[in-house]
Amino acid sequence: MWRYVTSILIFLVSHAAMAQGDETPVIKNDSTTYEATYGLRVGIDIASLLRTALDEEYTGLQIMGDYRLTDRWYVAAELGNEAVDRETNQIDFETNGSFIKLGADYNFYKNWLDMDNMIYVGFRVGAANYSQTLDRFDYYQDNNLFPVESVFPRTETTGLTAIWGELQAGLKVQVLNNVYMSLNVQLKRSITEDAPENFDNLYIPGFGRTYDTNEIGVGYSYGLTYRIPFFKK
Amino acid sequence: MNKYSLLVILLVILCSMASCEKDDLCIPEEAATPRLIILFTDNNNPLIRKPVESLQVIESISGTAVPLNAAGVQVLTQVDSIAIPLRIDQNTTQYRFERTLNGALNPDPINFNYTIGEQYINRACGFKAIYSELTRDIPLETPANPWIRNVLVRNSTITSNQDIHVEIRH
Repeated sequence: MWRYVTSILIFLVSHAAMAQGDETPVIKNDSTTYEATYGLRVGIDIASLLRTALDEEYTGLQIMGDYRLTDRWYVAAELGNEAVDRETNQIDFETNGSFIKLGADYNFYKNWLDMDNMIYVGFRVGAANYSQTLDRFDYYQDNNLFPVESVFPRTETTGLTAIWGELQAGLKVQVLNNVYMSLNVQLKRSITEDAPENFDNLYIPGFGRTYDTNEIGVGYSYGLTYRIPFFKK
Repeated sequence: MNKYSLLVILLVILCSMASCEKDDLCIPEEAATPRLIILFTDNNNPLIRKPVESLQVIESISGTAVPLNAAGVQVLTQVDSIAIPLRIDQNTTQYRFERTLNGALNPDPINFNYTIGEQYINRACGFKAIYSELTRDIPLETPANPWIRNVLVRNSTITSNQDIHVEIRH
């Protein structure tokens, strides 16, 4: 069955290549030519699994994938769920929700021979749907005449959404045949976000923690992925 | 380039990024829960501020002296305005305004009643209380020897230290 799929894909891609009018396809008879593998790469983010195990205030799962379009361009996506239950001096809060990121990666690394590694820069548009719960707060006072009052409102605001733009830089390295390890760092900037009434988004799934003074977020991931090879070119 | 050295470099970047998140600290200058700002005026001519010779304010339930300004001073002399905290754990604060004039102590009780609300400040400081529907009642003194002639609520909503909320004429 895969033979048919690959045949169809080869047909489609070669057709597309002709339509784009790149270079005329050359029939390669040279047996020493190294072919690049094209396919869908899917995997899981180890960083969020590790953090789930180590940080008792955090639970998260993220799957990631990319698909090679051309020699250097890949379409890429991440999908995940994060829950944070954080206690701080003045506020205890919970954030719970899902996110999706869509975009593309550009490979700067010139592979030798049959190597298949990437040093890449990518961009994403991310969107999250989540809820924010205010569990506890202390009134902030400039004196200690009266005892500190903790209030437990436990107000949950659901259906919040946020959209952000994201830049990624990282690498994907083939460690075994069709098995890859990837590492990246992420810089994000919020585009829109719904804030709960008389409160704020202290954490946004996929975006990470927020800052009072700016719209910037940072993140990282450490992926283990497997490529389902479709065809070679 | 060796792919494992690349991995190590990126791991180092990652770890440094994770640890550079600085702790959130609430800066004391940030807007805290506002205090009740009281202005002392002349009962004969309320347009003129009239300083109190020596003033101390006592919280009636605990019997403790309260801070009268941002510096936390508990006794002020020749003072024409003070900023005192209000209780957050209940809707009433009972105060005794103790004036000392020529060595004679004269306490006058005033109760303040209000509704408490909360307002979000930021991540580090959390929430501050804001007060609304401020009213005052003056319990009867026995024997009656008030130095305070009148207490007026000028602003029944307390959201900042920039307004005058209560005027005391004496």
